[in-house]
Amino acid sequence: MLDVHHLPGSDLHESKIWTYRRHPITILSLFFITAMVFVLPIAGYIVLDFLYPGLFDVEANLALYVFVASIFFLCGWLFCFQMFIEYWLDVFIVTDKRVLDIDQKGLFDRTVSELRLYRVQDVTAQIKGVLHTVLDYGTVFIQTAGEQERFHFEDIPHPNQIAKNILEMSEIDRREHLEEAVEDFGMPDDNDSDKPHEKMARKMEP
Amino acid sequence: MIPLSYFLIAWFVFLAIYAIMALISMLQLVRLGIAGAGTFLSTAAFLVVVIVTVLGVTGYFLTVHWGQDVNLFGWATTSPYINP
Repeated sequence: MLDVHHLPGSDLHESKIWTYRRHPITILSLFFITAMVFVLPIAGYIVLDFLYPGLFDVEANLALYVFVASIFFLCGWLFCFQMFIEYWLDVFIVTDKRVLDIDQKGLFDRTVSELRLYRVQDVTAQIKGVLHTVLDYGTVFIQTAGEQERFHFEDIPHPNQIAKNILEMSEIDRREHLEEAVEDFGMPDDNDSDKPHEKMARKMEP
Repeated sequence: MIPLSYFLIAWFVFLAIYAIMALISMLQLVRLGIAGAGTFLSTAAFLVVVIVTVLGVTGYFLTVHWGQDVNLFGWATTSPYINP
């Protein structure tokens, strides 16, 4: 089991860790399918008993129905569980040193991408659509220096706030990794506060 | 006419395959999930529902007389105990 305090490849002594998942509205279909899985076997029994009165008085018929209905229910329940796993394992982790994107597709397709905060060049939040605007969820894009590919985290809640905080955290981290940052961006203006990480930690609370 | 006992055998075969698939799914969640209440609770909820269902169905199947035959294509008119 993954302990967030022992993240993959962690040798950075991260003190603050935030975990984000997709907005629950994106798994609305899972709730609907789960409800169907519970309701359909019972509804099927009621409908068949109504259409063919006395059908289930025959023991063999009832046994056959229980056989089919239980297989349907167990398969449906497992399918819902696997949908949930896909949602639950698909996480976006922000620490005070780096950003981790764990992308889970199905049970056996998992991609872990990592980005050091001092390498972040630009962060963009996109909220597109009526539902996204009303519920305040969208996509956060992270652009790194010298790379065409962008990190992107889809359907996360409060993307504007997260984008702003990542950008501020990256500025703080860049000051701590001045040599590496200079190679990427050139010399920044130095204007450190006393404990910038502590200040950011309060802002990043989800 | 198909002996009803064939369905009992099919049920056990299904249970064996299902157990493997459920175990793999739970292992993936527990192994790769972030340690926390959500991971433990969802695994426990899945397991409890599966155990209750399997025990319930097995309990019912223990009361069924498996020696009879069933006519799959006219099951509404199947007579019990054709071939006891």
